[in-house]
Amino acid sequence: MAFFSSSVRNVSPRAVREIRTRGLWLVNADLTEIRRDGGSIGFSWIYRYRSRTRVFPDRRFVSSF
Amino acid sequence: MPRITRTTFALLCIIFIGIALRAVDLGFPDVSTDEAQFVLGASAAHPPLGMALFRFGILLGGPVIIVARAVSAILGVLTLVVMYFIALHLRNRQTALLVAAVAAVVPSHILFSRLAYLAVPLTLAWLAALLLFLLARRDGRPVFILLLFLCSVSATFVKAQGLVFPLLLLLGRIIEKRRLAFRDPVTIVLALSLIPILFFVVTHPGLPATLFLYGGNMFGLSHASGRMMALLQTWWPLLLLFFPFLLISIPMIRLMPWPAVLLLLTGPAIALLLGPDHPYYATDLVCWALPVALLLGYFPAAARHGVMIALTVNAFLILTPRAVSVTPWTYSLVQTPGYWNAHADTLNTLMMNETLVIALGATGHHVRWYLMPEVLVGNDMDLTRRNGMFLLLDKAAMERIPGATVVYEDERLIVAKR
Repeated sequence: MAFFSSSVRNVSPRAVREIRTRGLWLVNADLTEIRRDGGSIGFSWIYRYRSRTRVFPDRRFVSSF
Repeated sequence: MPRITRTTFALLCIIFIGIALRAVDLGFPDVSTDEAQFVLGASAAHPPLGMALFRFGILLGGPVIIVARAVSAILGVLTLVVMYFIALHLRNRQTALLVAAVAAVVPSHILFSRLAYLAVPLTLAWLAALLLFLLARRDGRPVFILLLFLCSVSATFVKAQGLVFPLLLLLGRIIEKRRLAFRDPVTIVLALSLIPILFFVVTHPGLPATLFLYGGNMFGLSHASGRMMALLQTWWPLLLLFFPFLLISIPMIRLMPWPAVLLLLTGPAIALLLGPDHPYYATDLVCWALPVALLLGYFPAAARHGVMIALTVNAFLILTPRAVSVTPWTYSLVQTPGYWNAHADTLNTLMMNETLVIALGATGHHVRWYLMPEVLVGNDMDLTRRNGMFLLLDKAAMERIPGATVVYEDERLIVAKR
């Protein structure tokens, strides 16, 4: 529902860009929460990388704007 | 036991050829970027059921692509069975057999039954939902209504656009029953079947995010003529002779019940809106075996047999088994051996001691499937202080890693170390 907010939509491309600058695959980054705290917006992610033979441990991080 | 006539035997032979064509060369094409996403079970753009089917196959048979593609092939064959029962419900046993035979040799469905895409599972789920809707609509037996619910839920969880057909069925049923719709078990069950996916979308923001933010430019009706041309250019090499028969069978849809017509139109409409140049949207054209078979029913027997032979040869030419030959009509994907199947072992030997590799250039998900170390996509990364192994799918990217040494190079890529 957060995507109905124009402020969230405005900063979303930056959140996506941040994932790319980390070298992560967008499809492996699960957006779990969008939190608005005062003027800032935080995107919580779980990064799950899996290769053909191995499941790598989950990594959690937050992109704040 | 019914006597097997020569016609029945011929149709059974065509069905057998169609099944065999779905089962050959499963390991031949390189794993595509889409397949890798689905088989690795990591696509934020789709709900989990379709991917889970492939993961389940791999869990049973091991992490090889043939296993995941075999899941698709089995579901492809099941699709023929469901189409048989739909036609049996609408007409009779002979027409049902003809529908199954036409469906068996639809080249686009054969191709994607050999690949681990979500297109075949979705088509099967939609067809099963159609069959159960028709059965439930006829006599309203609770078992059909329950199975309709399960099929409809399954369709919505196979692929993001899976909810389109159940939603259309629901709207059609409301129009059909008007005021009585709110007391109609079929309407109620269809409405209830859409609730789980709504909860899933709400609790998994990645899915709407993918739809609205990352891929927003896929959708719409802009450049309608361009989209139509792209659709024709994509479908033609995949269908060849089946395509004109599909077109001339269009008047036959007036003989079909509205739920079947909705399904026939859903596939092409989705292809036009979401990606006319994506060949996988041609998979659900298998549903058009229904009007094509109805059309063939009007042909004299000799002409009908001739067309069936021609359609079978058509499928065989487009998707000839590699052991037989490659024809000028062979679909591009299965014409020549892929790069990655041939080179993955060499690359993995080079990267044996690496835990992380940074890829530069057009990096598809297939790279994750083929390479053993974790792969980062370096195109937007600051590489100034990054050392280690680099996979350069764009050779010009060497200038981004000054001081790196080339440890491997071929016609496609460079492996460098810094």
